Amino acid sequence: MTVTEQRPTDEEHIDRIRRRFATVGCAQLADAAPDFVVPLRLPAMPRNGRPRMCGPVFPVATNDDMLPALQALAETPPGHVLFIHNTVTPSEAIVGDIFLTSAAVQRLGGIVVDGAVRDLTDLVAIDVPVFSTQVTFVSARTTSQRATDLPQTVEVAGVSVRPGDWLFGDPDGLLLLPAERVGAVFAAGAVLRDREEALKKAMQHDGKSLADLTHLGDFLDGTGDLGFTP
Amino acid sequence: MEREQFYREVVGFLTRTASDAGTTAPPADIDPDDNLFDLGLVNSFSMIRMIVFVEETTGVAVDLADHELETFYTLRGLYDVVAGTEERV
Repeated sequence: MTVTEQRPTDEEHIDRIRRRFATVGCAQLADAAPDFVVPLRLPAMPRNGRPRMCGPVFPVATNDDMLPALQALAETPPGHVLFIHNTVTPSEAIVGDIFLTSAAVQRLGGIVVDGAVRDLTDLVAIDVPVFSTQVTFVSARTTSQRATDLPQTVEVAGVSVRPGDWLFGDPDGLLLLPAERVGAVFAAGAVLRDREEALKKAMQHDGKSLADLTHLGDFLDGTGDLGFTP
Repeated sequence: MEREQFYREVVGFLTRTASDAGTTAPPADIDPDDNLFDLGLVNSFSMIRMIVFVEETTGVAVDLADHELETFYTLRGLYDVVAGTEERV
């Protein structure tokens, strides 16, 4: 049967999921739903002290040119994550404090730059998570290549970043989810998170090691099975 | 879908997938309020498949943002979610 109920993509709903995500990481989502999670293998790092980010993605590609990035910023809906793929390496800075201030005013869910950002000391004060693969103080200055189709599917690291897919980021990395699976994957990831937390508390409370919990000794002796599943 | 039919569908799914998922097959006398995790019928890695099965069987999207996690631990909770009778948070 087709799942017919439309998942709301309005800002309020996105924000509710984001609040839940505050305690669920990419690791739990990937462990709980490996069939639905697509790792986006970019060396992107949080750059302004806000380590988690999620939302429907609004992708754009550029070539060290600010114009497509500015066009995309203008069109990214509230709650969405602007994803900028700069095809030039090393990248000039596409996002800085003024750009991110606008993103905050527009209530974006975050920005990911496959390329460079700058103004790190000022970005810290702006309440929009920003991730990037590079940092440089050298700003992109060209504004000549108008984007004619926004948002656009972008091919990055062997993965298609499609408008509307959900992008999640934390210090462990980035991942993509089809929008229609966000609720189910979050439920599974949150359950896994809760059970992992219970397991850690049990270890601390009972003084048991991982070897104890996994019955490692029995397994090595050939007298039992290895492991547990949270 | 009626409640009893839903329970049968989910129990059937858990039975069919138990071997592959490394979980325990449901007992014949499973109660709708039994905790599926505590009985070993579902684990953290198999839960996503159960939720997707529920979604595709009922045509209703499950959304964590609207429900407490414990709702997903029992057959009754799952049905209440898809039937719209579970209280939303």
